[in-house]
Amino acid sequence: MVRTYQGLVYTVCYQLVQDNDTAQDLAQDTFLAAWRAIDRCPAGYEKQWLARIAVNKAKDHLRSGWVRKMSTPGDEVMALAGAPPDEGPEAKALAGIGMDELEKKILNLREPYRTPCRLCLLEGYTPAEAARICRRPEKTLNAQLWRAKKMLRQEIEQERRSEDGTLSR
Amino acid sequence: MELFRDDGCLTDEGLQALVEGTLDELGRLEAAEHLSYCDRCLDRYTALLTGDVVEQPPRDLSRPVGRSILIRLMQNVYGRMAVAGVAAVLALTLWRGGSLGLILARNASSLEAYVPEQIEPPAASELPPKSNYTEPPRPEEKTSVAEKAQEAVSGLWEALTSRDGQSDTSNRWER
Repeated sequence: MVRTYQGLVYTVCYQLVQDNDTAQDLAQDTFLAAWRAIDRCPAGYEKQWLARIAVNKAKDHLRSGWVRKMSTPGDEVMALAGAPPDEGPEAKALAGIGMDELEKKILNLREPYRTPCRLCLLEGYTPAEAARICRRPEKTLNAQLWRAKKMLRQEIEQERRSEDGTLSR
Repeated sequence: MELFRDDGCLTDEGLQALVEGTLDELGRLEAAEHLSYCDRCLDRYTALLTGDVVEQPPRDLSRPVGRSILIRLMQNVYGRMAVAGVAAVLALTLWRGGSLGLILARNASSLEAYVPEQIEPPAASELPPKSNYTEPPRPEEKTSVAEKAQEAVSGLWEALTSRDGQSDTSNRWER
């Protein structure tokens, strides 16, 4: 199996992480994970099954790198399960604008962020309910919400800065 | 370039950009998140991975993967063997030092404290009339639990030593 699919698995990993050594490590991890769960491999779908494992490995790698890069003070509060929803710099930034403006900004977001934000921030669904509606894993939806809030906060802060600049002139 | 369609799936040009390696880090993360749960897009993506698109890794992966699998297997086997070895050494040490008998005797004496008091047998007049059945003679009962335990352990030891002796002789014969 390794000899047959190593090219495919390495290519998937490399296309997602864009680094030779990391792609090779992730490809090895993929085959180890496949070996552990070989009884769950659907017959005739080995290619897709291995590609999915490789994608998951690459996703975990990219996500940890992205979280490290984007983390700011106050994020720990958001990351905690069951933490109050109205804390953290993103929530404060969103609370500082009017409902109409927030709705406009959310509906202007691109996919895959628009639908989860509309459901959770405008229509009041919980992330678990929104995940069911969007047919996405809850963890993925939470990660998308987290990034979407960061995007909205950056946009709001940029607008404020430009407004302040105009006023000071 | 739009990476996602309005229905939330990846666009054809988004998939092509992923294959060509022109997506930025956030785009690749978003694509990976989507491909990790969407079967249709995964099918579309793997269909693009044919021919020249598939790159071979700089080093053959079969050897390091095989080595890792072997290490995992060895770790499992050695772990179990180590636990069994430690248990055997501990048991032998206790046995040779005579501590095992002491431990058994102490536990037995402490167990005896929990044995309920003996019930007085009913008076002869209260018993039903005897039938012709006569009870077979019972073997002499050991009064102490420690005695029973010691007898069991020494029996086991005798059985083990006699079996070792037999296997030794059989080996000698084979030789």
